[in-house]
Amino acid sequence: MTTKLRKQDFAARLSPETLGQLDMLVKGGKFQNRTEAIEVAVNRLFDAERRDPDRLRRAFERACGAISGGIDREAWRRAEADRLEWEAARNAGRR
Amino acid sequence: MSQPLSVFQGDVLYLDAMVLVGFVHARSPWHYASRQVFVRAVAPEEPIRLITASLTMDEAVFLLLQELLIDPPYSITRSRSQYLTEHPEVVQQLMGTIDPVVQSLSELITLEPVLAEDVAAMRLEMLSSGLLPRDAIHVAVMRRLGIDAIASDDEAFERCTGIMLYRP
Repeated sequence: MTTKLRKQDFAARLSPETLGQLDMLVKGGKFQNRTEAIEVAVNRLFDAERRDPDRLRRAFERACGAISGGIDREAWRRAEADRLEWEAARNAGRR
Repeated sequence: MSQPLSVFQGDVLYLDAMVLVGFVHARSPWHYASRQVFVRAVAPEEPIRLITASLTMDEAVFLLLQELLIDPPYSITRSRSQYLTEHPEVVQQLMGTIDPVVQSLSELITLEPVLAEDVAAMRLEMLSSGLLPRDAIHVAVMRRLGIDAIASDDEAFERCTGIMLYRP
């Protein structure tokens, strides 16, 4: 079973030009209605913003190597095992 | 099958938690290789897409919490998960360090949800390849999304048919 999110109303004021373009997109047959065309447009805009090079570069610089401390393969495996054992013990009611 | 991460030539790559941690953790053995992958993800020309399951962030944050516990003033080296459970105030303090890093990290990758159908696929994957549940969920999400390349140091993924493991 899939869960479909309920759509919500919102008020918008569009210029006649934009509204005309929206209706042309719908008449073109690629979109069922205005809502679908707007949703696709917003999704594309959102993706484009996410791909903004300056924004990505800043995120890269903030995250890359931001945390230091001792870690090696063995320490990683120990940490992972410690976590899994702790989760298993807790969920089995042993802790 | 596996290859070095440095030879990855595709345009979509699924990331295991250790690559996320390797990227943000300057002294990780996977830092250099992970960094190179993220460099390619932010490249203006032909960037690669980095994808992981939202569940991976749980793993990554938990492991970062554990790692930070090793350093002073905490200096906790054993039973760190237990320690974190019993010291929520320490989790709050450590998240002050981790949170902005994870926020930035989230901007560089695409997080995909784990769906009910992935759990069914997880069971099949465990039966066919003997993967542990968390790794099997990664593979289930990958298969649903049509991704055949994973960056990880976990050799268990070599047992998965149709999945190429790229090791950092």
